[in-house]
Amino acid sequence: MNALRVFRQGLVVGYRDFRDFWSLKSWVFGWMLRISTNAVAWVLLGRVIGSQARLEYLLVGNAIAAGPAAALWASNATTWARYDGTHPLLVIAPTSLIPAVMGRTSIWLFNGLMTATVTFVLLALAFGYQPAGSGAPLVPLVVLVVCASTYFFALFMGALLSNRSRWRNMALDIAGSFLLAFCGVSVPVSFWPAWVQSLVALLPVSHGLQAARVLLEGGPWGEAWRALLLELLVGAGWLVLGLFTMDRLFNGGRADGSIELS
Amino acid sequence: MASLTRVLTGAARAQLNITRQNIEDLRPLFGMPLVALVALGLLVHSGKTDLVHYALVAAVLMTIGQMGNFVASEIVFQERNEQTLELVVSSPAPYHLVLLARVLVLTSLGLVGALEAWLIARLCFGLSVPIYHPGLALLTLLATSVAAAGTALLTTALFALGTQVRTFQNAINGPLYLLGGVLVPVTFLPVWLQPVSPFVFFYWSANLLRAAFSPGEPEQVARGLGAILLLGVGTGLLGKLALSRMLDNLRRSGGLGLT
Repeated sequence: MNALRVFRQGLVVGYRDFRDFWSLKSWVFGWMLRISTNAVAWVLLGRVIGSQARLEYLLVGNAIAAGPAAALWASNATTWARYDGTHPLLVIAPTSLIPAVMGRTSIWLFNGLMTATVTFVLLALAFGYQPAGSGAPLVPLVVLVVCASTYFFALFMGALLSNRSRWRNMALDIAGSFLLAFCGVSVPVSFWPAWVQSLVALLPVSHGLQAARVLLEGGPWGEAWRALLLELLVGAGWLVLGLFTMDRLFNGGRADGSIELS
Repeated sequence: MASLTRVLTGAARAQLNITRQNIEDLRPLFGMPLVALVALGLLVHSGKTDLVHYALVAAVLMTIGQMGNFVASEIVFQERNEQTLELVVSSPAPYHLVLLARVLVLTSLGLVGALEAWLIARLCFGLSVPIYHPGLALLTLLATSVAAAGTALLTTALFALGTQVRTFQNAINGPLYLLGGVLVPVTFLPVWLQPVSPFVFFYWSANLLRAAFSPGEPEQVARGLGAILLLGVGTGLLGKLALSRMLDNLRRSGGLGLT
């Protein structure tokens, strides 16, 4: 109960963070303009290639991947308490720091969900895309799972970066580009070498994206559920790893005196 | 003339030293190779190896664009935060010249993106992408980094003014790349959007670079290079004006001061 209250307070702080970046107007005409124009450019490459199937592959991949790319911002948000000077206060508070961090950072998970949804609708309208599969109404659920598993991955990244926060933007850029490059967004995972495929299997996005594609194309339900389950498992793995790392680093900071009010 | 050269070279040297100590400045050089990798992978996977130069052109132009928009455009904002703006402004060297040299260094570093993209094509995919008109490619890249520097001179002044304007920083790259035909030629855009493209310097850069990778004789080279430079100089002059206005306002309102 206490943890829930702390999470809620963290979410209020996260909402303020979000509003520091975006108002409704700037989210629509700034953020979404950037995301959707970028996605349109990739989908148009399908038209250059001259294949409708390729165009639809790019459309689905780039629309859904816009969500995890946005949710990944949570790794940066994890380090912000260090800049605000509130990290030591959170450490000495008589409750776990984790619900506070998760509350504050989870706003980027919601941003991911909204970003993917709006991008998908915009691209579908712009290119006249109509999914053939009867499982299409379930795709928002898959998008939620993909954004959540990426968010858990971001928590792990944020925990690792909390003592090296000057690397946070670089890490965000590289991790985001890596996920978009190899997780089946524009090119099937099977195209890349076996060692990349093995690595991608442990990362968020690729399984969920596969599930969404199967549902949209009307493929076998069993395959979709299996891929979704794998995405959930990968997400759960990163959550456990993220919480463990956070706990260890914060306790380590308490032990070696590196947390101080300045 | 000698003092002008001294200011420009001094500022350029200072920027190189700053960048050497701050690897964050080189973020686009680390992120962009992955863009090249995806675009190349997509074209190779689709059996369109005749179009792989599209991926190279996109990667290098995006690297130069990111260096301008996300790195060079931060200079004035950072100088205000670190209170070094006051020191530079109080020196007798014109501030816009100091800035021009600094942004030019950063956008020129974006040229490394061309080498990265070419190496990725060669090493990851075993592709040898012939450059039929290397002189044109080189001139276009140089003109593009000058135009990106001109644009950065304007944006660095604007982005220092407030958070709402910085939101604009996050927004402009996507539309500029799309309208400029960086990844996909503008002929694939809706007809009603195409007339806007010539006002974006990337449009001319992308066309000339793609022509440099094609065996045919490139057309309208002088016109294209002229347009890139004209757009760059135009935005650079607007940037000089915006900087003067900003500094005048700061001086008048007492916004400059060391604490």
